[in-house]
Amino acid sequence: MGVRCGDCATLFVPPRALCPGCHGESMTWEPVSGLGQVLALTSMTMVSPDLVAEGYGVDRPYCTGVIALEEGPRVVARLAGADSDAAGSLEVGEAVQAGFEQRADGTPRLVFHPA
Amino acid sequence: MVGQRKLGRDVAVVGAGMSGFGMFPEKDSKDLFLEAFAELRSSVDKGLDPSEIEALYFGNFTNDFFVKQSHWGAILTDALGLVPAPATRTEGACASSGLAFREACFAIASGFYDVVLVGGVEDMSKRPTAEVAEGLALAAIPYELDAGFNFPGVFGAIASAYFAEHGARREHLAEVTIKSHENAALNPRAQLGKSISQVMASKVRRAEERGQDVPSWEDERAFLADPSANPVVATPLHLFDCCPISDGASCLLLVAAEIAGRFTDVPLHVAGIGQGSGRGLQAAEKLTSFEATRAAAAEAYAMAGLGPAEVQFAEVHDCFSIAELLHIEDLGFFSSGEGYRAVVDGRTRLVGDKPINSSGGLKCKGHPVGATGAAQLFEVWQQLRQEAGERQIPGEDLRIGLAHNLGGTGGTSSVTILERRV
Repeated sequence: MGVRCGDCATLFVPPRALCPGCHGESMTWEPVSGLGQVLALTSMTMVSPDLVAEGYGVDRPYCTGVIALEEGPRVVARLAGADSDAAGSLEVGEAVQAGFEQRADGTPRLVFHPA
Repeated sequence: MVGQRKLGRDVAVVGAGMSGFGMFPEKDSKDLFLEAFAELRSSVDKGLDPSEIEALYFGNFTNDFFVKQSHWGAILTDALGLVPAPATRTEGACASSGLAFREACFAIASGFYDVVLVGGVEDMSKRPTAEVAEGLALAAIPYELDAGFNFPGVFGAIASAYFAEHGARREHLAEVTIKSHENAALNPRAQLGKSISQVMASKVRRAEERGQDVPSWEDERAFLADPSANPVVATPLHLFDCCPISDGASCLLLVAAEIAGRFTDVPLHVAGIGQGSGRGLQAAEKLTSFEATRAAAAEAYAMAGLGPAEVQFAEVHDCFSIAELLHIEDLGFFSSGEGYRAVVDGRTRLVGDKPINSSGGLKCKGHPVGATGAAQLFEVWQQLRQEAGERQIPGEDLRIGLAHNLGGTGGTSSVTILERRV
């Protein structure tokens, strides 16, 4: 979900309360398709302690990136199917689809898969 | 209007000092700052009576996290014998002391103070690497953390975008690394003070001493391309693309330019200062350029009345090799996408037409984050005063140097231009 500014009609994902462009405050929720394109990505072997607890690290790199949604806004999220230095299964420019997975603590994590 | 911003009166740098940069288990922030201050005192040509210092402005990112101690203003003023002079801490992640310098300039330019000590300190090495990374990640944007990014990850992703946009490759980043190590080998205080060839030789020697298989590489580039010698951290960045974890401090003495002659006959004038904010990866206009840096540079250039072509050398915030490429483009030294070619062509080396990071940069000199902005200006001070020893940029007529300090994932940037007029 994103929000659209009631004053200048700009769409924001993730949502924000104040429009940074026109300073409008009347935001309305709006669903987005979850389809996007990879703008940047990296596969990390040194990761945060909570990702180490999930089994990521030198032997299982964690891949994350920047995705441009087809509606325009950009999001940062984990990229599945690219968790390896050599595999190169995902590249800049590739089409991806959003989904959710569960973290070790049960909370949801946004993740994009090859579309 | 950017073009109308001027200091109320001229400010000059008349002294500077820097502690050793490295991992010092026996030293705390107070020790490090005193070390830098001792050098600063000896650097003031006509002497400094510390009781003349009216205030301290200093940058520190998060000693609160790294050593579980905050409120360093009180600790430092006491240690320096400056009580009851006021101390003000600035925090802008890795740009913390760039911000301190700017605030100190304002304090003098307003007429409020004549003599101000400005500096920065960070004490990072007392915790394990994973926890240091966690501490540094406090400066990222919450969405980035949620997506699993840390700093190498952010700059790795930026590198992937730069590669896709401009056709650069990993071997071009290696040229930045080779140059940083070459300069650091000439800097006695660099934390990683060896050229890549020297690193290779010491690895061979160590293997021989231990009776292990002795590695061999054709040249520096082959060494950096070998994943066993240079393992991946966050693609496409490998270990030698990343700055180390460092402890250190640096400081400068700022005075009203009209009284600079009491301290030295060779003051450095603050020609331009600028500061900008940015938005992090997900909201940034462009992934291969920092809006905060462009804004800070525009402000500093306008104030100084000069442009990038007139800047003779610069210290830029190369926390990762790719960062140096973005900065030298954002600062206008090279056009977008030309940065990596300039490095490959040797233009940013000490003997090039635009020397970048003569100190070895964050990458090799070290990056005690809160001290970095001040330490960059320390290098500009030494270069402009022809006191940089073996790494002195050739040419008698060095007049204008620039320091660029970046905080977070592009959220904060400061640019300072110093000018030698005599």
